Amino acid sequence: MTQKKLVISNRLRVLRAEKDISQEALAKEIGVTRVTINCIERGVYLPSLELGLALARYFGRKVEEVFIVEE
Amino acid sequence: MKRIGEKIHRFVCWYALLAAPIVIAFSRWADGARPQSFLGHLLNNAGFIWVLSLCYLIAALVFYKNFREGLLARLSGFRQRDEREQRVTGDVAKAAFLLTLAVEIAFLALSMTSFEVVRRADGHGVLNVGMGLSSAQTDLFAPNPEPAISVYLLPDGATIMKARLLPPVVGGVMMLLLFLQLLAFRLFARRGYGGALDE
Repeated sequence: MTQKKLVISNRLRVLRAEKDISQEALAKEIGVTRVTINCIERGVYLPSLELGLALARYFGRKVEEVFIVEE
Repeated sequence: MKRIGEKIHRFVCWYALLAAPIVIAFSRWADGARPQSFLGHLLNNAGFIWVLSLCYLIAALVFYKNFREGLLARLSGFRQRDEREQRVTGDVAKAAFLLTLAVEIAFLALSMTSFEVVRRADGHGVLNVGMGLSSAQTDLFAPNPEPAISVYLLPDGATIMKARLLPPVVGGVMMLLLFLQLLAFRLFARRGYGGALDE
């Protein structure tokens, strides 16, 4: 069984700029490494549901506002 | 009580690691001779305790899960600080596991391979390449292992040279390692895959 692949981008860099918070500080707040935040922003790493929700909650947004499924 | 046990465990492990160079240097210097001086006796006893601590260290590596994972993770540079690193570690461990299996299979095949070159008296020759499993591969403690290259001269003037790429005992060790690795993976993976490994 192969899982249907979705193309997902994110607005993390924009939201971080709006809140004026560095990758390092955000990583510390969420409890991950700075490299992980960097990888998510570049689209290299797709976070788990748990981490995605944690990021959305941190920015006070819905998950769909942080992570966008591209049709 | 548990803390005391952990302290003893840590002390024994550090002793086994740190005393190793001193004990090896002393055993090289003493060269099997009986110690004569007080210092010699002291070092001799320290060496004996080191052997015991080494036995403990090896047993702890096999049976003490937390110690094994901590030590080997540090040695191999595992990082699992967050979910991304855990996933990377999983991918890397998978690649390393499969590479190790492939190398073991290659070594097993090489240990089973033998060459035979026959040079007849008239100058013509034959090269035979064979693969086979012999009892020498399953007997890890065979008293007289076959030589890597053996040459026979036959009465009719022909020469036979038999050669092996690896000693047969390597095949036995590789089979054992393959079995242990596959068994360990299946046992540890059973819980992670929800009990259904072959679905």
